[in-house]
Amino acid sequence: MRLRFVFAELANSLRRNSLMMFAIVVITAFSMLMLGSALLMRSQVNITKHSYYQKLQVSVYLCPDNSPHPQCPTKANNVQIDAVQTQLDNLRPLVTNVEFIDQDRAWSIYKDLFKDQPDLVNNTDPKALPESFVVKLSDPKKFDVVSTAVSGMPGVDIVQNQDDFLKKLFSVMNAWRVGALIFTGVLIVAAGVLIGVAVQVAAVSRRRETGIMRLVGASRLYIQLPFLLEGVLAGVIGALLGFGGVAAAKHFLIDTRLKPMLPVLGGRVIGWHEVLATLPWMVGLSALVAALASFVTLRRYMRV
Amino acid sequence: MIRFDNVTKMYAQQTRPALDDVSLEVEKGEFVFLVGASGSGKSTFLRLALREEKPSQGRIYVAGKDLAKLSPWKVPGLRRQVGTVFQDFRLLPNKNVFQNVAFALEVIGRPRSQIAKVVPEVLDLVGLADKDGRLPSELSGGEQQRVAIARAFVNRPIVLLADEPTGNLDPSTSVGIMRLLDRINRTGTTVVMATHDAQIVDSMRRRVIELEGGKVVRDQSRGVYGYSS
Repeated sequence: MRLRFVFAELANSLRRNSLMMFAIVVITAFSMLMLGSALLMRSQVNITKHSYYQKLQVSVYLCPDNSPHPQCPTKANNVQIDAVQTQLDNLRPLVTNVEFIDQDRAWSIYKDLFKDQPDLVNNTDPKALPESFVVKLSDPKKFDVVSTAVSGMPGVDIVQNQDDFLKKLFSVMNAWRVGALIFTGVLIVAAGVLIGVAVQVAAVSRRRETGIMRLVGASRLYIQLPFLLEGVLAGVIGALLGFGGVAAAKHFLIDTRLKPMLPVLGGRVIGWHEVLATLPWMVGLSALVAALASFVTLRRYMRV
Repeated sequence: MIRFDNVTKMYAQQTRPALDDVSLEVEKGEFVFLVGASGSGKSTFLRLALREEKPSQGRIYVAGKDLAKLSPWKVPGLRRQVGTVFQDFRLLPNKNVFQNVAFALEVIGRPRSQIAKVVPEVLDLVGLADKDGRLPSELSGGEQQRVAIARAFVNRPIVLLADEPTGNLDPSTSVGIMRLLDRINRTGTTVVMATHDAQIVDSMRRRVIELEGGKVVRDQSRGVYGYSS
């Protein structure tokens, strides 16, 4: 009986308030779409970061012949090379692997890298390629430790890692995410205000009923629950539509447009698992905002 | 059943109190007329007894409860023991007679089986058993007020507060409403009725409390309306 009554009241009110409900659903859907894309962006950054840091390595280039750099008066000799090797080995366990690339290896890597440009390969003297150490780190973020340990040693030209490129990529993705979050916040506030107004309108239009309910001794919960549910229902429907938008974006944008960028993004884009993980956040947040907005409005505008 | 101890009620932004140091007691089973000109404090008295308002000073006891100590979530419990009837009936226009009365039980969570049993009984009591499917707009004023009384009484309150229940009705219809209130009173329900209607008060010969400017100026058992009007 109790539930029947509450749901009958709810259905009644939804019918009367349908335009307002439509507006709420649309604005909530958009705010949740923004939230979802921000969440997905974070997942993608994490995937990419993880994959890059797994592969991240530091190259210590040794002085080649005829280098224009002042730190390289002559080609690195064997004594210098051994000293650098020892210095790198001393950095274990941070350094997990040290590989020496001699000129033959460097040449074959070079040929492989530019195999589409034979002119370039033909005009390059194999002797001009520097020898190097390729160093793998247990914690790629501690690149600086390796850099300070070996740069400046005799025979060392430059120390390079791939971190700089990654930093740029991540800063772009993070900026996108922060922007989406700010936009989400603004839209959520707007949705909350709209829900408050809708509940207020519903409360005023049913003053007669609620007045009688109050007089015959209906509890506060009984009087206000239909209004509260109305707001929450609109919020949840909006969130579900927003999730539909996110799922569509995953299907039509990420899976098709983003696929060519796969290597840059670390070999994997967000999957359905990550997309589904946003659903509870979206539904939960919009239900919470709607409940809060309804509750505050009812406290202010309905006597019980 | 209802006791006011030195009750004063000041509304915000008004210089004169609506009720001024009122002390009175209504016993269980009594029938009391509350008379006085407009603005004399009759409605304020009823609103305070229903705890729609809180007194500025003094203590109020209704149905054995000290209203000052009644926490907000217990107010509905008080109102289930106090029925109310108004001059303007306050029926729901889109519900028929049966549904209007049943509404009062639905919203306090009574089971449907009980509603199906109790509502016809009370409609029979007010003499509308054969009109339970009518909408309020299809009823006369007197019949609408009977529906309102049925709704106030269906939960068997121990007190019935009536604010000018005959104010919109012609004299012969009013007599019918008074007979009904008298019958309800005879079931043991305390009835407090605010009214302007001198003829009714004079014909009933019940206790009369007269308010003037927020003060009790007369309290007579078996009284009449008064001398001035």
